[in-house]
Amino acid sequence: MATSVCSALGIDQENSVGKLIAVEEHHSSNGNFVLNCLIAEQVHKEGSVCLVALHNSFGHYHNVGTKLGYNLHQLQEKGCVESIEVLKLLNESLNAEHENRVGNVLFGDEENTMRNLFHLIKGKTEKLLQKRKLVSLVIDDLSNLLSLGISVKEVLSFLQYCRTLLESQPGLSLVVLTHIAEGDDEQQLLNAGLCHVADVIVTVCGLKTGQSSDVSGSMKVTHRRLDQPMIAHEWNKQNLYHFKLLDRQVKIFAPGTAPCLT
Amino acid sequence: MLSNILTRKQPSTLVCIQDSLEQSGLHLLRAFAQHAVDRKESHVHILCYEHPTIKMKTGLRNSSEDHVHFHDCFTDHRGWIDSQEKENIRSDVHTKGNSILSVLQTSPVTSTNDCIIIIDSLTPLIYNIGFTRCYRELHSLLVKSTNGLTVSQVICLIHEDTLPDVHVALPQLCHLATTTVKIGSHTQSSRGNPTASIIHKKQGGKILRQVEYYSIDADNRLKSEILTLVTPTVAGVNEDENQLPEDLTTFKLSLGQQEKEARSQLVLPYLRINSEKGGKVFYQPDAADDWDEEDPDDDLDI
Repeated sequence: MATSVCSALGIDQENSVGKLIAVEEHHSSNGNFVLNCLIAEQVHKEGSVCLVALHNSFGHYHNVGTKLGYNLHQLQEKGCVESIEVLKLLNESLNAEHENRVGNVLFGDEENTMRNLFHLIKGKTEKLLQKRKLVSLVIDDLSNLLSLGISVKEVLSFLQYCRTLLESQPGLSLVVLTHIAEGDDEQQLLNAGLCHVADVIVTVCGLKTGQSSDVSGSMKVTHRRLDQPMIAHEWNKQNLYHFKLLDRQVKIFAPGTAPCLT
Repeated sequence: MLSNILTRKQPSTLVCIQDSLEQSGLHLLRAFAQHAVDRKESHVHILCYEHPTIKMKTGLRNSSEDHVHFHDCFTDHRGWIDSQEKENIRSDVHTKGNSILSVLQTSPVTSTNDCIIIIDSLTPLIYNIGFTRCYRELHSLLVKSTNGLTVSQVICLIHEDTLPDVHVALPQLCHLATTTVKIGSHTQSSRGNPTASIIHKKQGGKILRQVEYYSIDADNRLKSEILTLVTPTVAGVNEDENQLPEDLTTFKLSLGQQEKEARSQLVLPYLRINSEKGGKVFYQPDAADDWDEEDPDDDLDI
């Protein structure tokens, strides 16, 4: 079920260890399915996942996961999955700030907030790497940090620190999702900053002409092969797919070949 | 022209490569770096702000030679890891991400030798220290007498879509640079290769502009050609429609001289030439028409 998405992304052919996959979610579409499929793939390969959930609660990912074939709660109990639920952290930090006690992770100096979050993540990934060789750090979604009032500069610094983990912790791969809305300059800057350093860019957007019952949206996969020499026409080659989100699976097909049309 | 700038036949103190998400300029930067490394005339300092140094090292041949120095400005650029280890002491000291000059000054060889500086991306630096300070540092690098550094060339890469105030910052950088290379994606005429719009300011003040397409092979060697726009040939059908081709049929289609005169003298039956002034209505009643001489408005009491 998740394999069709992963083969479209080209992950089954290339090793994603040490790489950054950026998922660009445009307004009026939902790119969450890419993350869920990548988590499914990682679980299938018997790797671990460190999930930084800014947009949804852990329960949401568990629910989607049961439909795709894995149980996140069980995996968490086994120690294969770690999560940092930022929504809960928000609650704790707010309470800590009101009561003036220690525990305020998120409401303070911008730089400190990002630094604390980074150290939390670093601790969790180190813990996971002691048990399993492959760890995937999934961040959903980076642009929510902008809603906390944190500037683009600090979020990009945080991203750079997460990328340093790719080097210092072998076996780690990074998946980051950002949301873009037209007119929001900060989100555009953040997204541009992320895509320039990413190895694979997945752009999920709705159909230009409106809504359809047969196609949920379009997905464009771009492999930025910065390590390899430039080949005319091949470099930055993009692949465009259409997808349909169903209850228990995601169908991926080439544009114009939706099942209802064939 | 791009090859001349790369090989320094056209000397240029600051080369600014502008790229975007559509087409990355990292390959071109690597070609410049490779050439600087291969020349072995000066020390080459490669400052890695955006990517880990290993990425630049693996992309370049002969990168482990003595005159090539890699500076890691990517790892721990804000001192978050370092300060954590020192028990949460907040570090305001100059970390490597903060200043080009401090990075170079701490390097032991720079004070006596001529050097070429290659910066893999200015974006993280601009975010960390602000555009003004970055501009000043670049400017002071180029002015040779300060800081005891002799810099012969600076080559930097800038992503135009990641700059916060791009409409202000980018023109200022272009003004400072002696060569600006703007990378574009491939067009119809570039044979699948990316294009480069080059603006080069010569020492005498003359400005050269050119658009070229380039390719870089696996050994980081550059090949560039001038981009000639392929214009579609205008298939102009400029037929003189007034003249009928006379050899269309065997029938006589044109008029002879006498026939033309007769045509001009012909009076058309219903065309009356208005010789009198004012308008006049010519009415010829049929048999069925009822012509009434009375004035229809007679019964009105006005």
